[in-house]
Amino acid sequence: MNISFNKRAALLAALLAASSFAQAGVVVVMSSKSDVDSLSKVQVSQIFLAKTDALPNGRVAKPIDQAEGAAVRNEFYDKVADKSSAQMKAYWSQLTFTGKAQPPRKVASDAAVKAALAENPAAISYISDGAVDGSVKVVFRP
Amino acid sequence: MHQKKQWIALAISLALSQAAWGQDGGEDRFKLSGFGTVGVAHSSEDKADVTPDFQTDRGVGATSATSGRLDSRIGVQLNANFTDKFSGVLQAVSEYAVTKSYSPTISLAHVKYRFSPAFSARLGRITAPLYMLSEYQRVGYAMPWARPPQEVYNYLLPMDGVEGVYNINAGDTVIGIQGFYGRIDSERASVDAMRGVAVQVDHGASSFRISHIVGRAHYVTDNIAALFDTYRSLPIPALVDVATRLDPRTMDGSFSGVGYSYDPGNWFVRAEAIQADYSPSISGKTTSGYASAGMRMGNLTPSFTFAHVDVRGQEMPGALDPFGLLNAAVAGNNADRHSFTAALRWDVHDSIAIKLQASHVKNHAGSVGGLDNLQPGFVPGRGYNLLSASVDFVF
Repeated sequence: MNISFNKRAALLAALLAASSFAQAGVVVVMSSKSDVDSLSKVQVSQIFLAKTDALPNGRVAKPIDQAEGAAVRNEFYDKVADKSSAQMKAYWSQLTFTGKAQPPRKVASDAAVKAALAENPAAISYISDGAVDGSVKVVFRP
Repeated sequence: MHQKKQWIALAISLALSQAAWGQDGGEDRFKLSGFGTVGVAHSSEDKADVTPDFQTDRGVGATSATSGRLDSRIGVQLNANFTDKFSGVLQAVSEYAVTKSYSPTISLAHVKYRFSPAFSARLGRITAPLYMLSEYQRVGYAMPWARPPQEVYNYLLPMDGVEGVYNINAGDTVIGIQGFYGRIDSERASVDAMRGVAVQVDHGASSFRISHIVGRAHYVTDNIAALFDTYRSLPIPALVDVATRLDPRTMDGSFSGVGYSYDPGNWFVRAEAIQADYSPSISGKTTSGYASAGMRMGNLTPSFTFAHVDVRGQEMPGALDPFGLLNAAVAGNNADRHSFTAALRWDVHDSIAIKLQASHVKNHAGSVGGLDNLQPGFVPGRGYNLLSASVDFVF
């Protein structure tokens, strides 16, 4: 069967749309100066749920959060910790009010995350894929 | 003991006043937060009270059919990060439980030092990690239910002492080992030389926990003192021996717990079994537990819970007790019961949850079921319903 030019163009457009949609996702990042190259979903979720703060290189991980209500934050916790924003709030109230741990420091945007990562090679956070540049490296892609 | 509490509070407030308020590398040095519940409960048992804590003799039921005493409370907490490794927590709570007034008490006051990424220690007032939810049992917002199952969680006492936590990372598994030593002090109950260990294993959505604690416990009320002083001074050696063994004013106790939870996000199951062993004293050996399952559908979390209590190990004086008072006291400590609870949590806002809960509690034959403030006409072994509506919040 002969596929018409229009059909091929439509297919191409659909493929492009699908790939750009996939790239709009959240990625877990550290400073490009960090010697950690990749982390697993479990490692990332353990760090952000304060179950551990040990990085594979032995350093103490410094998780950095985005503001509550931010779409990138909701997507991150949904994909990495399988928890909604309300569940995360309930989870942190367990740890906070026992005096065990405090929620990670919060910053306001992808740009602010990159600035914070630049200060500390053990800092770890998440940004939307489109904001990735040379200052950061992607250590996990959910 | 009182002096020690003051010393801890003083040390923390001094540290707070000396450190400068402000920003340090973008992180707050001081953080004020809090939690609370406004809740009313209604009991259909009008001849006895359901109480918020084992040593509070008033709650909801005979005193008042509908009351906020069971669940309402507010807590305020100050966290201080002195350095990366050194931090402190001060928490005050106003609640009816324990004090029978809403006058605030200090529920947490400790300093924490991180010796390494794997090991940290706390000194001061902490909550003894007896069971799975012990450390946050006051925080309604952290739970799917109006309150943790009272068959297991019927105490709210903090511990003054020291605790160390060691974390082991084994691939996808995190093992936390918590060891502690301290004492509990309150108006009616105290525990000396309380020491124990709790081990938690987290793997993915699974969490498994086991704990064992021992200590010398003391439980004293005016009635207990009068009863046991009288019986222990009687000229009947065999009865004096029985009364001495049953006396709860000094008893070696042990607390063991095993718990499991699986929470992949859209649903959860939790189950826990505990044993509090004060035998051969009148407090006996209590085995209790619960199993709960729930689903998360958007902002709604319905759950269903079954709980059970079984008290054994007490020696009945029987015919040795010609007056019957000791026999009656032992019988009065029978708390055997089971309950079914349906709960609905509604997350109305980021920091606010509304809960509706209905329980049917069935006291087993002859059992007082842990109820207090028994009135003439109370019938052991009866069932009753407990309905609750509450608003939980954090700030």
